[in-house]
Amino acid sequence: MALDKCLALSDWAGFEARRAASERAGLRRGRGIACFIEQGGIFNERMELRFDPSGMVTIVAGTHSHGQGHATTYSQMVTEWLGVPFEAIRFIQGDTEKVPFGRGTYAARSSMLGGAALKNAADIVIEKGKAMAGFLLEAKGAGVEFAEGIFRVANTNRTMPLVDVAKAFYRKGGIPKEFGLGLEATGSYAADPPNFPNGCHSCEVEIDPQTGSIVVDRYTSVDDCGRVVNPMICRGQIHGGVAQGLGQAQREGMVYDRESGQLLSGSFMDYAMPRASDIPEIHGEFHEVPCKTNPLGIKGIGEAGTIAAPVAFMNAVADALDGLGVDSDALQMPATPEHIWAAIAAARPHAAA
Amino acid sequence: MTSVQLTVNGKLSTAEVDDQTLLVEFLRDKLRLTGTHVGCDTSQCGACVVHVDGLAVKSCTMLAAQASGASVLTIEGISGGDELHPLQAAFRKHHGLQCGYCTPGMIMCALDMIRRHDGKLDATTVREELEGNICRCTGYQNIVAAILDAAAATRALQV
Repeated sequence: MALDKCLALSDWAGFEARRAASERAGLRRGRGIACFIEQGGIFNERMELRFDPSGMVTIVAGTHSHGQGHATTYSQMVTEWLGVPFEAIRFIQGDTEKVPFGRGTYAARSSMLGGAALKNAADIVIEKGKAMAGFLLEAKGAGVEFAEGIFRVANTNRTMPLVDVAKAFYRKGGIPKEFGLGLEATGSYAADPPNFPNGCHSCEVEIDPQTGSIVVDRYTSVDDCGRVVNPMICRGQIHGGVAQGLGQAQREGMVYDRESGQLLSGSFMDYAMPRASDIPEIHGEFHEVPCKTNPLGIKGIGEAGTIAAPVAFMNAVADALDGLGVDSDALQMPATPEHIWAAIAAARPHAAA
Repeated sequence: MTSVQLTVNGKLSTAEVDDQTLLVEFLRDKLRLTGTHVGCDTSQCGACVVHVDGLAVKSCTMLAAQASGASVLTIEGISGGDELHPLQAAFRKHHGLQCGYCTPGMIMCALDMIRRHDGKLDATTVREELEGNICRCTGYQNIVAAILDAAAATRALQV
């Protein structure tokens, strides 16, 4: 399915015409495809929800966002589950004086593990809230239901918003002792069983056989990261991941002097980070298949691009060089123009023979 | 020590600085304008781009003394109060930043780019013009989209 979508989105069928056009310009065009699967999220994680007397709620995250947009994604979740306004949510992370414990962000784990732990905490808040709402609304043993931010005594019109129930936990008196003081909950979740983000990416390159220079002309991604909580953020994660993967495949490499062991690629003067003109416009779609091993249906997203891009790119390079006698199995990353030019030059006598 | 006098974001600043003080050090350490970032310190990454007398420069590679007498514009100076500059708003709208480290330099570079091209930009030009600004998070795609959007808005205002 992801494969079919990727073929359609990348105009796979139109490749021969594009290749003929490249050939007329003296360039070799190749295409590559990568169907991948990874294991997303490892270990366990811990999240807290703390209300304060004003009805604001703070997410205390064990994960750490350094550009992945957790404050947005987690707040979306809390708004959805508890009906708390987006603006009434605060976010704390990364401060060891304020976050009792956390494992951080890596291995495409935060939305799934942090999110599921947060769901766990939200469920506890709802359970505590039901008891308090039952008292405040004088349910007298009747069941209390919760939906869309509102507690309701079953089969009645007696209701109270969660925010008001939360405030009641901070009253100076008049509340039975068993409710304690304050409303907060700690949730946790473990990646057992794990989840498996997957997808299909394709890449087209144009190689100038005279110089070995490579242009990535077309890049298409179809990703199954399970339920997409925030499409904009998930797309951003794919873009960044693909750029990382293309950088690794095309030019990024640690180079050491053979004699002295001195690192030669020790600054951005020498280490070839991709620039904007090295990365193509990425055409991406999601193929949402909700994950069955966690309550949110989420699979990881952070590393999909880095996994798919080098494979799709190197396959495209091998395809472009097909027929020149180049041993494509011997092509190494990073496939720099020098490397490609040398491979073509080395193959020339064989091709002529 | 050298005496320098700069107008930064419209405000005159006079200070005695070590001769080797870089413009970015002056901005960040003396004036506490920490919106301008230092990424590589070798003119490669562009996180430190500011405008000096209307030109985009990498402030990690200019001495504060060299900028004496000049008018400097930093990321802090482009918006009026709490209102985002249209370019900042475009970065926000298009998710043109993730960690945000490169963003001040990207925006100062883009501001200069839009002005020089009179808002007439296409994706290829923007990508070429961003040669001196590195981003490790976004794959550049949404940065390019944000700049094109802001450029189009600039054009629309002129018509």
